[in-house]
Amino acid sequence: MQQEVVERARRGDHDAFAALAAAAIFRLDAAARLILRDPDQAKDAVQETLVRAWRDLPTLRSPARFDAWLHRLLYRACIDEARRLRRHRFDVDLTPIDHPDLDDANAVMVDRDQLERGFSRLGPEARALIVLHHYLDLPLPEVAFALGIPLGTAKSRLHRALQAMRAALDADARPRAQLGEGRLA
Amino acid sequence: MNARNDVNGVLLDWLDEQVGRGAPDYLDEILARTTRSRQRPAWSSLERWLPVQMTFTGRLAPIPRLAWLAALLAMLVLAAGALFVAGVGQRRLPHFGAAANGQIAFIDGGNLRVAAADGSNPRTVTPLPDGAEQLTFSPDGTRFAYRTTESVPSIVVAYADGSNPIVVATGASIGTGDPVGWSPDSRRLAFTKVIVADKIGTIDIVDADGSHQTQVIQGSAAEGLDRYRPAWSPDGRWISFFSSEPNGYVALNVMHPDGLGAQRLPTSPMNPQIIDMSWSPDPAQSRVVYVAGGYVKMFDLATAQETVIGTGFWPTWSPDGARIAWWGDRVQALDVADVLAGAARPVTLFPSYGSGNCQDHPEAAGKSNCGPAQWSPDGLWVYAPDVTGKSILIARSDGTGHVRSISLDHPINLADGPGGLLAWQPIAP
Repeated sequence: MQQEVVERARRGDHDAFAALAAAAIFRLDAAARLILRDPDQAKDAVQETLVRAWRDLPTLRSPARFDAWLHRLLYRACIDEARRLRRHRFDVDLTPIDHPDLDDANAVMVDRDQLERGFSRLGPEARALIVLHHYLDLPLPEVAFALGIPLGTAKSRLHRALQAMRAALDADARPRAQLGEGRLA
Repeated sequence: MNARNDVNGVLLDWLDEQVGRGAPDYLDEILARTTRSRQRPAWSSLERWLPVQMTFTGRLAPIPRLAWLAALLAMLVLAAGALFVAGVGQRRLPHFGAAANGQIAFIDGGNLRVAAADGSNPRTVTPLPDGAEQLTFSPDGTRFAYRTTESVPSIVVAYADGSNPIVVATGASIGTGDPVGWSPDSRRLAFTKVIVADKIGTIDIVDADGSHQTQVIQGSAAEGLDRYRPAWSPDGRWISFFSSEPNGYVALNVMHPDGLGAQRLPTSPMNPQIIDMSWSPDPAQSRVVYVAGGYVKMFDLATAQETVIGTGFWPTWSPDGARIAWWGDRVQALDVADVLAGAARPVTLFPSYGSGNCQDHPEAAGKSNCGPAQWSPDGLWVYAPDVTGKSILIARSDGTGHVRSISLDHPINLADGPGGLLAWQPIAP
């Protein structure tokens, strides 16, 4: 059914595109807000995504890949937005990351404030990995496609993103003097 | 959002909480835009014409490590050779070396203020428009440039005493907040211009009197590629710039000032949120420092060698190009020669404030910095905003003596970044 609508939109049927956009905008907006941590930037990224989707839709080879393609456009728009508006801002974690296993990491993620801080300290690429895989429930091959990276790289980056979150949470719990971390705005 | 595995249940619940359930209310706005937009014809996609899939996601056979190393070595040699050959024949600009210290200039609220090199005698030179930032002196110290981001964004050049301000470029397309790059002969400026409709950065050059504005390289909206933040090499032969990469990273490139010879440097990929680079001020060297993967790194264009300076960011060169200062939980400086010899001995210039956000540490006011440490023109001092943004710290660049400070009437908003609000005037010999 969706493929038919995509095919119509590809041929220039704007009503069909409006239906696709209406079906997608909630999840795109939610993902963008999680990735960018800013509703205004998220709105800009989603607008850019859907405008570009409409413009480039005729070049999409396979209508069945519409959703995956849309997620790819969203990721690119989010990264562009993050870079453009925050070029001179810094959010760097200099804490050496040790290598806890993921089960251990999950056990620590219980405090919402800590989750907020840990998630915010990730870069937008790492947040995108977590959001696409865990929030949008995309399988890793789809995430890899959206990010334009090989599957193995997506796996290792996701692993590192969760480790980095764990490291950030650990850092919050450590005495100040032991930290080599700096967050600068 | 449904039927997902529950391995990270707490994280997923938290993500759901963050998003909430409110539907976005801007779909009509988007559809109004798409109604006005024409679709690209299908034939304009190269992928549709080729009998191969350009987005390959399969697994390649591993390349033997030795062959890979040989290929990398060959690429580096070729890159170095290409840079050398392409640079031959480009005009070298005169360089007067180290300069004497003029006055420290800073944007304090709506005013350009100056103070003596020892922090004494602060006074207002001239009022500036709201939102003035990215203050930079010309290399000969006779003029300064700044940009304004409020209402109509502009780039303004004025004499060092604030007289004769000239708007050299203006319009929504230059409202990027990026620094402006002076040519080493102080005659021209390079700056980022954004094609507003596509949000794609391009690079323009303009004479310091506002004439001869020329686009030297443009981005590509179709490829999602933009080019931005130009910086002139001290010998005048190159302009560096950043470009977006399809994988989300950022690459460092160089081109000649006429826009020819553009090429990507084989540096490590950079995080688009932490782009920061500068040329060694020594025109006899062709070196840049930048931040990649949490490290400050140096790249030598002559040898195509990349060297790690340390963990951190905000790297700055001493005026003679012999030392680099950077922030890595505190401001340190070291001799480049020692780094290349494998015997780096960093010296602390400003002490650490501890951990977390620097502006959350008022107890370190007047002692620790929160911004890149810039060098005085004679190289004997470094200066930076303090952790509260309420003062400018000045310390000896050899790490001895006490830290001095200049109080600001209007604190710098560190949440938006230092934004180039401080500059030390060089006095040419």
